[in-house]
This record gives sequence, structure tokens and C-alpha cells, in this order.
Amino acid sequence: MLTSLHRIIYVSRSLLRGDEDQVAVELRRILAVSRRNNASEGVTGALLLGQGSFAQVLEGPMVAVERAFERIQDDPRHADLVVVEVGAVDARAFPDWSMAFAGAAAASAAPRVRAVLDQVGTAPRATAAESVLGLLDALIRRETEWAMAR
Amino acid sequence: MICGRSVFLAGLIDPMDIQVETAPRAAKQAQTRRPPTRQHARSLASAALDVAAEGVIVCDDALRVWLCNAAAFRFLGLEEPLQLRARPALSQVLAASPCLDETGRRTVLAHCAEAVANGDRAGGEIELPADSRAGTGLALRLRRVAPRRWALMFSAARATAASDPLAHDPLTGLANQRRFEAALTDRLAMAGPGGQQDWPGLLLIDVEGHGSLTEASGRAAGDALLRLVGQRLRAALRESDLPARLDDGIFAALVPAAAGVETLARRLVERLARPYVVQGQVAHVQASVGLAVAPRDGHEAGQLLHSADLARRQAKAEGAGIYRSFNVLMREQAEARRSLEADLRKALVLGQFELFYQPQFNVATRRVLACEALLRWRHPIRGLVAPGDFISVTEEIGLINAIGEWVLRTACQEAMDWPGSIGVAVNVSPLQLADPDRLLRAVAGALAASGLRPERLEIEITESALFGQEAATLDCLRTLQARGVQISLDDFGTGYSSLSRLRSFRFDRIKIDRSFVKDITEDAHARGLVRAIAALGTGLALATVAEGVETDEQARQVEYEGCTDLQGYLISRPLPASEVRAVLLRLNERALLAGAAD
Ligand SMILES: Cc1cc2nc3c(=O)[nH]c(=O)nc-3n(C[C@H](O)[C@H](O)[C@H](O)COP(=O)(O)O)c2cc1C
Repeated sequence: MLTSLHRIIYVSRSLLRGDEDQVAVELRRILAVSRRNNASEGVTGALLLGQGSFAQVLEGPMVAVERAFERIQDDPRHADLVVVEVGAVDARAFPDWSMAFAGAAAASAAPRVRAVLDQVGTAPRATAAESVLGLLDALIRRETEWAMAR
Repeated sequence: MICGRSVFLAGLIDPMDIQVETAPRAAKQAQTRRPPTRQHARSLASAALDVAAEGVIVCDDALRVWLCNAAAFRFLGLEEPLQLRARPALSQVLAASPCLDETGRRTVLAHCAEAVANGDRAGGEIELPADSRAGTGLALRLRRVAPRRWALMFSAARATAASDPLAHDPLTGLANQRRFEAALTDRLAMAGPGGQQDWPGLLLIDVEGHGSLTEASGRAAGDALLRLVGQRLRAALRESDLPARLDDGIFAALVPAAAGVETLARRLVERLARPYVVQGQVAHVQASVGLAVAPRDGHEAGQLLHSADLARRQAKAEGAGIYRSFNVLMREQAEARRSLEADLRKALVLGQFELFYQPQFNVATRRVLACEALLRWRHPIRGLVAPGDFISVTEEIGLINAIGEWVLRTACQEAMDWPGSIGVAVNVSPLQLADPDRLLRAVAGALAASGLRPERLEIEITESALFGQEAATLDCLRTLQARGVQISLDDFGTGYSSLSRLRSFRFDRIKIDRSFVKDITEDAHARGLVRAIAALGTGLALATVAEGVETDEQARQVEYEGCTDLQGYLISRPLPASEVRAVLLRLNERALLAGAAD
């Protein structure tokens, strides 16, 4: 139980302020720390920033994921965090990423991001979880393709 | 445990084969490949390691774990094998431990990494205070046991001042009540007259919500949640502040300088209310924070704690998830309440209760057919106290049953003096109804002692009394009714009025709340409601009593709308027992005369 594979999906409101470059710098910091911490604890996942909100998937051994969550919820760079899904899963959705990031892809898919965020407030939990996961998956895939094309 | 043990001891036999998911196979392969004698020696070594009191984890230079004995599992609070690939990183093993917090884990890792990098043969010792590990403190030693192999050994820390088990809450590792109070006392002494230090502030944090998690998912989950609350509390404080857990869900913080405690309280309320994830589920708690600062709210530890506690209760009463600073009013209110309770406990014995009676006028016969008994408390200093000012307190301190029994006995007794067969209506508290046997005994006793015919007694209950144990309550009412006692529904229209209540029990009367009667002459809406309730009464063949009738105009209206009885100042104010008989005679005589004049 303590070490079986768990996943947490949450969304929160970003409090990152400033122009694009300042936000990018802060994001890079978050990602660097995330990747370092997550890799050492067997946590993988994906993060999206779009429409002023974060959406994040964290997966890994239960205790490690819960510990990462506990660190993240306390971070002053975001607020109003809502847990969309939490529980045991059979397999990781992002096995290859200690923390994948969707930035440019999220910007290019604004309407879809908006729609998924809206769903979090209204749709049943399971549906909302599925669409957040689907969104992150699609955007990470696209982001990766762009990176490779470059 | 068994499983975890065999998995990792397989590593002792042949570390190359550690495959957590395939442990049995690994063990079997090992068996087939080794000569029996060596294997025997090794399994002896395994067995010995497993009964050792000290926890042992063997790692290599890259801090990958090769084996881990039973005691090490115990110290780390791990119960099951790690489902990680072969030879997990030490960081992952530590990360899986629910007992180590972030700081503890990093301290251990940093210590090991440094020792390995320096190649020290004896890697030295460190101690983790109880604060960074839930439970008691932990002592760790690192030794090189073979080339590029290290043994990390765990034992319980010696009790030092900082890790004194008597000073710590074993669940959260925070200070316990004893240590907290001692620290508070010290701090106040240092700040006192001529003292060098600032005056401290004190926060009491009342956490609610872990109870429902415990109920739903068990003790371990509830405890884990409290542990997280403790961690968030510590994280929100400064190094110089002292966090503590005083009782189940009661946390505290001692802040050396009171300036800024309000900001801290606000931050705590917000932080503690953020979602938690515990053992694979989301949980929430609310924190109500009470705040007191020295010397304004107390010079001395007990007094300051009491002030903070009053503020905490106030915050909780105002709706949880907020903070309140202590003010003198709170102490005055608490004092007033305490003395009210003390006085009430004596009131019955000292004969300070009295019943007043308010006549009810029957429209059809134009006579008074019944009076409602109203409780008054005559206190030598407080004067005459209305029930609204003390009944709820008697309910809270468990006096209501005794008082209710006195009311039943007295009302039946005094009604025996009244002319004709005028009835008496007695209000019964929901709490009395919650103990049906006792109520039935009380009614039977009052009737027997007075000799009043049951038909002359009426029991008034409020809608809220019908909540909860509905079946038992309804049975009790039916029993009373079967004995001839009348049952009426009080304050109709103000509670959770539901027509199904009128179906589930055949009341003899409903009493229309005075708020409808008050507005009946001006407000067509109120009039419509009175009409509807009266029609309901007609349809169900039950009497409808309009309460609070004060003017002729109101009387005309309620009569016109079809109410069968009227009660209020227009008929008569509530009368002391000694005056009832005379007033009843006069009222009914006048009615007779008026009737004769028609
Ligand atoms: C939106 C968001 C996502 C984050 N995700 C992670 C994460 O996946 N893993 C992580 O360790 N920290 C993450 N962080 C950072 C943590 O909140 C925290 O700053 C960090 O874990 C502290 O690590 P340190 O003590 O090693 O500096 C995230 C922060 C934000 C605002």
C-alpha cells in the first residue's frame, strides 16, 4: 500500500506575476526543483500552465507522491488548489518524465485548456480527472514533437 | 512484514538477484546455486540480523540498498516490500517511510553521501530529534563493512532534553502539553517585570475534520492527517516559535514576541484548510484559532491559556475556520455562564421555579377551556427569568428532565384547583422526548399524584422534537394519546413544517406561531397562511390555536379565518397560579353573560 503506484491530479490558480520572461524564469525554477526532487523519489508527472492556472499530474509510490503534494500545496506561487483525483493506478501516464511541462502547447490550445478547467468545477470527478489527464497527455505529446522538430 | 523480510534477506544471499517483485524466484535460484553449508551459514546470519534490535540497511557507494533487516523496516514504519526495481536508491527507501519528514530524510541522505564521498571508514553518528521523525528520536551510525559497502544502523535516540519522550507528543513529534506549559511559564517569567524579553503570544488551534476521516478510513488515516497538520503548523511558524499538540485535535503555538500573531493566525487558518492527501484520499480540516497575548490577556501561564481557550471556543462557535483574539467580554460571558449554571443547579432544590398559566379561549363555546403552563424562574438577584434565557442551558447541562418532571407534577396539581374541567397544556422538551420511558413514567406519576383526569392534560411538543428517533418518539406519543392525554404541535410553521408529520401522527391540536398572528391585519400573506393552517385543521378534524393574539382586530381576523382557539394578551396575560382560579371564573362568567345576551 505505502509504496504502490498512486496518482494525484490537481489544478490551482497561478500567482506567478510579471511579463512573459519573468514567468518563464520562475517556471524554470519550479521545474528544475521538481525534476531534481521527483527523480530522487521515483515520482513522475506533468505540469501545465495555461489560462492563469496550473494543472499537474503526480504519480509514483504513495508516500512519495503524497509528500510531494504536501510540499507543493504550501507553495506561495499558487493558490486555491483543488484536488481533482487521487488514488491507486495500475500504470504511470508519464513514465518517462520526472516532470514534463506543457507551456507553448498550452498557449496554442487555449480554448481546450479553458474548457477542461471549466469542467473541473462542474463535471463529475472522474470525468474531470479524465479530461485533465487527456489534456496534459495531448499537450505534452505535442510539446515533445515540437522540441524534436527543432 | 514477513514478505518484506524475505525479500531483502534474499539480497544477503545473492545481491545480484534482488528483484523485489520476483523475490520467491530469487530465493529459489539462490538455493540451487549455493552449496548447502554456505547457505546454512548465510541463513543463520539472516535470521540473526532479523532478530537484531538495531535497524540495518546495507548500501553501496551509489547509495543503492542491498539489504534491509526487520528492525530497519520497523524504524522506518514500512510494512511491505518496496515495489521498486532491484536495489532501490536509499533516497527512495527513505522517501517511502511515513515516519521521516522532509528534514529528517534529507539529513540522513546528506550524512550518508558525505561519509561515502569522504571514504570514512566510520561514517560517524547523527541524531535525528523527535521533531523530524514522528515518534521518538532516532540515532544513526554509518560504518563501512566491506569495500564499497556501508551499513547504516538505526537505534532509538537516547533521551536528551530535546528528545525527552515525556515532553513530546508521540504522534506528531511536537511538544506535548507538559513541555508547552513549561515553556510558556519560562517565557512569561523572562518577560515579567524588569524582564529582558518581549511578552509572548499564544495560539490555540482547534482542528476539526480528522474525526470523520478516522471514522471512514480508520485510525491510521486519521493519525496520518493529524501528523500532516502538525507539519503544516511547524512549517508556518518561525524557528523561534514553539508548536505543540495538547490534545486530540488541539494544537498550540507559543510565539516569543506577540507582535504579528494576528497575521500568523490568519495564515494558519488558511494553510491548514488547504486540501490534504492522506493514504490515497483527499481530506479537509477546519481550524478555529484562539489568540491571547501577554500581559494584556494574562500574566501567568494558566490564565493566558484560559484566555486563548475562550477565544478558541468563540472562533469555533462563530463557525470554524476563523480566528478570534481574546477580549474581556469573553471572560465575562464565560463567568456569567458559569454562574448561571451554578444557580440553575440549585434552583429546583431551592424552589425557585414557578408556573404561570395563560388561558386559551375557545371560539365555539366562547369560554376558556384550557391554560398553557409557562415556566418562570424567580431568582433572588436575577428577578423573574423567562424560559428563553435559561431553558437551553438546562438542556445543555442535563437538568431538563428533572425540571420537566417538576413542571408536569406541579401543573397537574395546580390544575386540580381550577373550576370545571379546564385543561392544562405542558411544554415538553425534545430532550425529554428522547427518553420516552422516563417521560411516560413522569406523566403517569404526575396524573396519579394529582388525581387529574388524563383528558385534562395536554402535552405540547415542537416540530424539532420529532427529529431523530422518530419511531420511538411516535410510539411514546401514541401511548400517551391512548391513555387519554392530548397532544399538540407547538409553534407550527416556524420549524421544518412538513405535512408528513401531520400524517405520521394524529395530533389533537396545532398551535399557529405568534409571528403569523402578529402580521395578520397588515399582511395578506400572513393572513393566507393562517387561513391555510386553519383549513388544514378543519380537514384533519383537529383544533387550531392562534398564539399571541393581542388586539381585537387580530382576534376578529383569526376567528374569521377559522381558528378554533385563541391565546394571547387580549384574553389574558400569563397568570401566577394563585390568580388563575379567580380569572377563569370571571372570564367564563362574562362569556356566559355575553352568550346569554346574543
Ligand atoms: C505549480 C507547482 C508545481 C510544483 N511541482 C513540484 C513537483 O512536482 N515536485 C517538487 O518537488 N516540487 C514541486 N514544486 C515546488 C514545491 O512547491 C517546492 O517549492 C519544492 O518542492 C521545494 O523543494 P526544495 O526544498 O528542494 O527547494 C511545484 C511548485 C509549483 C508552484
